[in-house]
Amino acid sequence: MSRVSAPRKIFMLFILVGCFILLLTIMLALTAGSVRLSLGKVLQILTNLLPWSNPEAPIDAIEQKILLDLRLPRIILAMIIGATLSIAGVIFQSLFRNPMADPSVIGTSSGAALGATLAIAAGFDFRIMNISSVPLAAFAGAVSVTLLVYNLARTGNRLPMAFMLLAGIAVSTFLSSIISLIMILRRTEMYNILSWLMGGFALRRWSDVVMVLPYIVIGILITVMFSRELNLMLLGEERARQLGLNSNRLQKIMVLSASLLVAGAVSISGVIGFVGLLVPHMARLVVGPDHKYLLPASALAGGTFLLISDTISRTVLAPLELPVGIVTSLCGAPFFIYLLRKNKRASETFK
Amino acid sequence: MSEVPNGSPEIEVTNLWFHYPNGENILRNISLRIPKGGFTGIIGPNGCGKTTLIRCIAKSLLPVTGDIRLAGQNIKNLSSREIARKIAVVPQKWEFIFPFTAADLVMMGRFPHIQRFHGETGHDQEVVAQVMGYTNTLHLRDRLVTEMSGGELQRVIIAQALAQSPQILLLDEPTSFLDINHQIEILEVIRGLSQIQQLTVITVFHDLNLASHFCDDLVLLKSGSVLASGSPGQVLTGTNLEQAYDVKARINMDPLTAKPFVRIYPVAYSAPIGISGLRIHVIGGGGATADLLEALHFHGFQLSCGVLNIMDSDWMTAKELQVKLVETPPFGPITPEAHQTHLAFIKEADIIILGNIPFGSGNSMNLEAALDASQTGKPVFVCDFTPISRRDFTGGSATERYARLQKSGAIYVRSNQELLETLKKLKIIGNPEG
Repeated sequence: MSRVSAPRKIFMLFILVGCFILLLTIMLALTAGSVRLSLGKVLQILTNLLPWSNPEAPIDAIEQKILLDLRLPRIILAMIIGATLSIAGVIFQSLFRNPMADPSVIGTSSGAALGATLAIAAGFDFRIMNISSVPLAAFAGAVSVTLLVYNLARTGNRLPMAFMLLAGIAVSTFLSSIISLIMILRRTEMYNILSWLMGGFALRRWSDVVMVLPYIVIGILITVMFSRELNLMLLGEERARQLGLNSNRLQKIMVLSASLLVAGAVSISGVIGFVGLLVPHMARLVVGPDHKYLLPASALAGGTFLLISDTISRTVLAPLELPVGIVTSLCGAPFFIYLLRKNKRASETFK
Repeated sequence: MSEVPNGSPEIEVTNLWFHYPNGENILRNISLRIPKGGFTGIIGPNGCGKTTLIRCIAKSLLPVTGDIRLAGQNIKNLSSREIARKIAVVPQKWEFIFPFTAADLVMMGRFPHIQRFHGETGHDQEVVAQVMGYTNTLHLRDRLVTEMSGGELQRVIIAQALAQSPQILLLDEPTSFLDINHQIEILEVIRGLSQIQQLTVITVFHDLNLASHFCDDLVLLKSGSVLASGSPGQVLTGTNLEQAYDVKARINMDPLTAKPFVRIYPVAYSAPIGISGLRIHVIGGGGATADLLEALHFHGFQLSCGVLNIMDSDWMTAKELQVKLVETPPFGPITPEAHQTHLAFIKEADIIILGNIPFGSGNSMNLEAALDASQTGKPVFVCDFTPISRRDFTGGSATERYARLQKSGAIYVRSNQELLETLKKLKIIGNPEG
């Protein structure tokens, strides 16, 4: 086991390598799909967007539409949502000091799932500001269930983390049963509900990017601002307070901002499992527990991971598209177990 | 607690009560005044509330009733950030650790001084380097705390607390994981800081002698109340320790430091086996019977002792144990008056024990007295641990008397244990009903 003698150096290397892999993946994702586009064509269409560009060859309008209106927003969404779920995972794992914590633990994901299920089952199909009803219902569900769990766990002015974890698990389980019940009662919509529940980016547009971006940018900014405080939380709540942290306030801020992140993400992509659990662990193994490095590293790795998964999901059985949640779990779980077995420090990270 | 000449004490605890919801009282009506720059030790048996008191002062727990004031300010009105700038805590246990480097962990101690948008300054770096120097952890700077030994980690945690630049340092058994040399080293550093920087230190101690050695004041807790407080000499008394810990203890003054030095006797050693009313007279001298006197005393026998030279170590032990004794001036022969009193003591006693003492011209009268007693039919036990030939400095007369003693029916024993065992059996013979 090599000693992390210069965490900063390792972090810089991680970012450098990560950006390179991300760039390669983006290129691959732009070219691959049911309609193959050559790299040259992709670059031509992209450079054509630049105001000073001077098109040499005529551009196929359909190819341009596929690239700019279908693939590009989808790629951007996959990266954003991968980063978001990973950051939320970091927050929950640090806040609860629990390796099993991920964005689903406090009920946010299942709230979103219930909202979406209700909207699909009831056959609501309307658009507000060009945003369809299902993501809106998912967002509403995510926020209201988080607030419910938050208020269940809150005792007086405090927010006991252990209780919050248990309340979240109980509520999630309860909601899952309701979702199953709805699916049985509305068998005609079962396929639609299931494919939403398994997550994916099919048919996502620029409007979805615009809708989700504010939450995610605000959530990430808040989180990064509190990275020093999150480090202290790793020492345990009492120790953090002894070192001067208002842990109670931090817990509230972090739970709310992580919920905002997750609600924004799942309302667009549905429930995508494993990213929030796997990515922070992997990043922590490499860059260490310091949130100053862990948050950016997780965001980068999460974005890359979800983009790879999404690209696989839409190409491997093309033109059939797999829910991306299946791919993340299929690739993620074995890789995660491999990491845990290979690297003892992973299991020692949480004693 | 000693009073500060001017102004209020650094820490003032008034009528503090604490219990967990629906729990029993853990702290009962504690009041303390702790002066600035003092080194105060908190001692007491497990579960007496030492750690709880520390956690209350650090505002990690909120008292049920009562007040804690820091330089006159009630901690109720201070934020955790404000408190962390004044009070640093070194906890007893470190529950789990993420693989931070030692330097990162110590830098976390600067948290209450760091502004959110400014980050760490050069001053913060300096303080971290300085406190890591104090605690001898600079060389561990880049090591992961998950890969350190208990002692190394403990020193890093103390460095983290010192990095807070506190005015008050609370330590909960800070040396529990340290080797004895590191214990002393760390406590010396902390005491040095308390003297140079007027740092007020409160430490929970497990080891009474470390507490006695390092502290200006001690607070002895029992079942959540203050049993005694004051200087080590005032607090560490046999009576206090028996009340607090339910043990027999003997207190000596350490000749080098003039601080009390505590010896605790094992329970088995101090359980009473003495037959009520059975009087034992010990003929001692030259330090040969000090251990025996202690053992008999703690076993509950009624003792007398003689003839001892004043200031001899047996004499000092007998005085400490408040045993009735016959004394004679140092380095001189036993005076006739002393011998007469001695014979009277022997007559009063039920059993005579002759210690494993050397005989010279000065104390040959003691041997004579033992022989007398044996010949008149008193049970005499002879501690024959060293052959008499090596203890005889009288030119042979002691050896000759020793032989007569054996003939007269005295019982020879080989060790203090054997003697005590024999005395235990006597209990059955002498007291058949009980």
